[in-house]
Amino acid sequence: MNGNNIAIEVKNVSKTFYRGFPIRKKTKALDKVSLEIKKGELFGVLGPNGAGKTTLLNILSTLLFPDEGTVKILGKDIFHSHDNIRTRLNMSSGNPNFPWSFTVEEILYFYGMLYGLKGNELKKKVENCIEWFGLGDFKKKRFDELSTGTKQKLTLAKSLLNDPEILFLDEPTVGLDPDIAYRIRNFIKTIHKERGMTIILTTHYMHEAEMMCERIAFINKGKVIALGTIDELKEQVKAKNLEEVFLELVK
Amino acid sequence: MNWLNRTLAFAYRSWVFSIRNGFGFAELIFWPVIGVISIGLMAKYFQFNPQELGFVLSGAMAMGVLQVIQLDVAYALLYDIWGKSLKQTFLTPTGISEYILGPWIVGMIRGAICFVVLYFCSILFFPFYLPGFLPTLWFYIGLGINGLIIGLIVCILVVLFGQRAEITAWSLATILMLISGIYYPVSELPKFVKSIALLFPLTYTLDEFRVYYGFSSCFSYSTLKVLTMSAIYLFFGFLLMKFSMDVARKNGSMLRLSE
Repeated sequence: MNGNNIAIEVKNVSKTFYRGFPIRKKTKALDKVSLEIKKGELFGVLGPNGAGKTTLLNILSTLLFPDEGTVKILGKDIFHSHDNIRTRLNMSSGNPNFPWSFTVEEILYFYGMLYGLKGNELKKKVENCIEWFGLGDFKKKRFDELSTGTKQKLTLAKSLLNDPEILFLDEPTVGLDPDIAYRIRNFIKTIHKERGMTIILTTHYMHEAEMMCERIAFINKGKVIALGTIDELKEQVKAKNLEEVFLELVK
Repeated sequence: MNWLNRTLAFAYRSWVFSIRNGFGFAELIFWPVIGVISIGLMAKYFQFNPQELGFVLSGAMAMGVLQVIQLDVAYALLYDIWGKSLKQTFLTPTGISEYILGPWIVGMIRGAICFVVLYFCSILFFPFYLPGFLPTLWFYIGLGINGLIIGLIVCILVVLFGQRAEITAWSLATILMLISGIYYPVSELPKFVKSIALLFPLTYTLDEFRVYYGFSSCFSYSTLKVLTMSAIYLFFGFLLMKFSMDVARKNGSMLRLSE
């Protein structure tokens, strides 16, 4: 892969969590994970519960530092240029949380300001986000009064405020009604197509991954156990669909 | 410019929180008012002269105002933890200084309101007076800086030790006021406690203000000490907060505080 074409480069990344006192329980979340994600790719990270998907996403989004290994985002090391990196990425996760007494509009204004937007530019951006996600009827509603689906739309709207070059989507359709999940999937595909954004998606829904992702990494017990396009993965384990690939790989 | 924008964003957030939680602010003012009135009545019963009354009432006012300012700084982090939105905040290119100074600006505004309310309570019920605009302004700025330092320490403790350290948001300012001589000169404190009091700029802020009520200062160069010690505390405080956040990103506590 050409170096300039790489959005994310992960080399031998490991992460262990320690919890409890006085006896410390050790959990190895990632074990020497290496992968490369191309610019403009819609990349899926799949695996069973506790496989290390969210840990990987948290590391890539600089919310968590790895114990060992290197991570380069858009050519920059996450340890040394994290502020610069953070202006160029964003994240939307399932079951999002925001200041509970803020309205939809206030939340977008607040995060927009944190990304350096101000004045008319901020106002226009917030208005656009509200319009794109059909949040007009809810803009004066407090966050704690919103339904799960509307909260999900809001977190997606927030994640586009800074026009990120890389967008992390951590189970963006979890707990949503099928119609809303369908609309959100279509929206993700549209922004990916129109903006050429690099998108990294984790999901438990195999059909969702199959429908959206160009390449997929399967993670289990903190290790990448398979990596490739959907056809390559199917071929690898002689499966008909991604669900069968999943079942075969986690056996 | 982005630094200023982000600082204003956090000030905006604190402001929205404070106007949405009018009851919380009333509660913040309620106890200081009770404190000022009860201390004033005690002073009246013991027939304190106006200077002595000024001495103790300025301590009671300082206690209320300091609590309001430092709580606003601590709330920067606590609201994020209670709202489970810490990771959303630190996903953005937010720096520690913006995160702390934005809420502090709102704390200074709310502290000023609290100061005015307490002043009116004091002059309404007692023969209290303030020593003039400039000494009072400097006293208020001193309280503001001390509130910033205490709030910063609370944030560091919460990031390092998790939600069990939340209690410091309500207790640390009170303990420091006790050590720094809230209603008495620090010379009255046991020797060991006095030596601790000398380490805090709050001690010199209170001592300096009481000179205007005709009491002799326990220290020399109080203003210089307030400024120097505050600068040192703030420098190391911000450094330690940055270090704590890096530790939180390393051991995953930033994510745990968002769950």
